[in-house]
Amino acid sequence: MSTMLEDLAPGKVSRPRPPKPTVQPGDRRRTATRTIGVTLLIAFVLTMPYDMKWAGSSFALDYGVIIGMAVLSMSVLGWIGEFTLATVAQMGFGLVVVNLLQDAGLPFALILPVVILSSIPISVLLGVFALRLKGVDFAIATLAFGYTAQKTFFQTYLGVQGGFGGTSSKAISRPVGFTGSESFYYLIMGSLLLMALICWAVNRSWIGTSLTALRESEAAFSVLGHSPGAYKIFTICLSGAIATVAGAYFGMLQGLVPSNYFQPALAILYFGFAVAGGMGSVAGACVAGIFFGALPKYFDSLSEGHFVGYDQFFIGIVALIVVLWIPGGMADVGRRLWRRVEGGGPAPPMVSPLEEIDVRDGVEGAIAAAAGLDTGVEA
Amino acid sequence: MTKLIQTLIIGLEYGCVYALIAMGMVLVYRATGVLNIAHGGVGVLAGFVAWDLNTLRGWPYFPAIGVGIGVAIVSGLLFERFVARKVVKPFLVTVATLALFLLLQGLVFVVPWWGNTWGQVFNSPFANKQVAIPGANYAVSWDQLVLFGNVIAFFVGLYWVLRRTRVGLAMRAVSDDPTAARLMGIRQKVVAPVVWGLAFGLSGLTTMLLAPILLLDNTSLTAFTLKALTVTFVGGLVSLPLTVAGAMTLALLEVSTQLYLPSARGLSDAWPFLILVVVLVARFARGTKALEDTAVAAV
Repeated sequence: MSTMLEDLAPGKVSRPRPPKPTVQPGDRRRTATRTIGVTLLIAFVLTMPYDMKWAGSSFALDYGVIIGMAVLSMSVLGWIGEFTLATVAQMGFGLVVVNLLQDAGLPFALILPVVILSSIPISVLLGVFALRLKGVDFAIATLAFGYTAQKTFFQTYLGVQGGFGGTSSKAISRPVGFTGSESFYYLIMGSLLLMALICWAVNRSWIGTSLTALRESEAAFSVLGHSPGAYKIFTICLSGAIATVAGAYFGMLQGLVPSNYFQPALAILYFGFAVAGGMGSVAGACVAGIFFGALPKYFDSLSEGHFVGYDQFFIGIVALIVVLWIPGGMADVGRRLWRRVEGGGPAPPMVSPLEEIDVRDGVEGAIAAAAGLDTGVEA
Repeated sequence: MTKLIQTLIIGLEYGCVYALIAMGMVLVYRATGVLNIAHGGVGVLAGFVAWDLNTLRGWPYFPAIGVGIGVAIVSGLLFERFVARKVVKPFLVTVATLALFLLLQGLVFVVPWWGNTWGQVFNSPFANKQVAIPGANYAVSWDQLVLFGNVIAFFVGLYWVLRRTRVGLAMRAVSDDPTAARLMGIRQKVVAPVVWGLAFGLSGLTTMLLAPILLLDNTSLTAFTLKALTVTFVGGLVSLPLTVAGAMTLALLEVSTQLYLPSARGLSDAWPFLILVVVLVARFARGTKALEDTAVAAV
C-alpha cells in the first residue's frame, strides 16, 4: 500500500515499464534476408560491367544507367501527382552546360555542382507552369517547352551532327580518371545511387509526407497553411537537377550529340519506362531505366542490328500490362516478392500516384487552390 | 499581294492538318475525359496497312484506305473493350493511350516488310492534279483540296453530332456526369465504343489524307500530333471552334514567320510554346476573375 501511495505522490508518475522487445524468429529471418539481399545487390552492381560482357560492350550498360537517371527524374514528379515531358530538353541543357564549362577549362569536381545549379532557372520556369496547371495540362505545357527547346536552341547550338555552336565540333570528354569504360560505369552508377539515396531520404522525411498530402488534396494542404507552390517548385527543381546531370553524363558518354536526340517524343518513351517501373518509386525508376535503356542496346549487339526499333513495341506492351493489372509497376511486383522472401504476410496493395492524378481539375482547380477559393468542385 | 495569298493558302493547309488531328483528340476528351495520345500511333498503323495493301499487294486505292480506316476503327473498339472499360480513371486511360502510342509506333519497325519507315510514297488517284490560284502564282493540289474539304466536313459534322443528335447529347451527358447519365437511361457501354471507334477512325482518315501530301512516316505524323496537342490547349480540350481557330492561328503564324522573316527560324518553331503561354495567361486571368465574381456574389 505504501508503495502505491509513494507512487502517487506529486511529481512522481507511475508508468508501467514497457516489456523488453523479444527477438522473434521472423525478425532474424528478415535481418538475414536483408543482409544477403543487400550483399548480393552490391556484388551485382560492382560486377555488372564484367557480367554483361558476353552480351555486348559496356556502352549499353552506361547508356542504361543514364536512362535510369532520366526515368528517376520523371518518377520523382509523381510525388506531387504530375508528370513532365520536358525531361529530355533538360538533359539537353545539361549537355550544353558541360560543353561550355569544359571549354572554359573547369575541373570535373566544379562542373557537376555548376550543372546542378544551372538546372534551377529552367526548373523554376516549368514550376511557374506547375503553379497554374495540373495533370494533362501541365504535361502539354512541358511538351510544348521541350518541342520549342529542341527546334530552336538545340537545333541551332548542336546542329544535325552535334557540333557545338556551329564551330569546329569539339566533343565532350570524360573526366580525368574515368575515361575507361569500367571506371566511367562506376562513376555514373555511383552518381545514380547517390541521387536515388537523396530521393529516398527526401521521400521518407517530413518533406515526403507533405508532398503526399499535397498530392492527396492541394486545397486542404493550402488551407492548413502550407505553400503548395514552394513544395511543387522544390520537387520540380529536384527532378530538373537529376535530368540535367543525366544530360551531362550523356554528353560525356557520347561525345557529340545531334539535336535530333532531344525530340520530345523520346520523353514519352521515358515516361513509359517510369510507368513500367512504378511512378513515384525511386528503386522502380532506377531499375526500369537501366533495364529498358540497356536491353535494346544489348539486343542490337546480339542480333547484329536486326532488332532496332523493337524497344518501343516492347515497352508499349509492358506499359499497357502495368496500367491494366499492376498500376504500382515493377516496384510493386518487387515489393510483393521481397515480402514473400522475407516471410511476411501478403503486402497491402500499393496506391500508385498515377491513380490519384485527376485530369479534370486542370486550370480551374489550380486557380482555386492558388486563390484559396472554393469552386464547389469536389477535390 | 502574291506572297500574302501564298501565306494564307499554305497556312490554311497546315492549319487543316493540325485541326483534323486536334478535333479527334477533343472528341475523345469531351466524351470520356481522356487525352488520346495514341492518335498519331493509330494513324501510322492505319496508314501502313493501307500502304501495304495498295503498294505491296496491288489493291486499288480506295478499298486499301477503307481497310486501313477499318483497322483503326476496330483498334478503337478493342481498346475501349479491353482497356478503357477496365481502367476506370481517365488519367490511367490517358497513360494507356500513351502505351498504345509506343506500341503502334514500334509495330511499324517490327513488321519486317514495312522495313524503311522514312517517308514511304503513298500516292492517291489525284496525284499530279493541280488547281492554279489566280493572282497567287501558286497551285493547290487536289489532295490539298480534299484535305480542306474533309476538315470542313468533319468540323461541321462533329459540331452537329455533339450539339444536335441524341448520340452527341449522350456523349456529353456521360462526360459531364456519368452517374446522372446512367440514371437517365444512357448506356455508357454503347456510347463509349462509338466515341473510341469514331476517334480512332478519324485518326486513320487523317493519315490517309496526309500521306499523299507529306509521305507516310512515323516522325512527321508524331510531330504534327505534338503540335496538335498544343492546339487542343487553346480550346481547353473541349471547344471545337476554338480548337480549329487555334490550329489556323498557329499554322498562319508559322508560315508567315517562315516567309516574311526567314532569318528568324527559331521564332517559327517557338510559336506553339508562345501561344500556350498567351492562352495560359488569358485563361488564368479569366478564371481568377470568374472565381472572384462567384465569391463576391456568395457574400
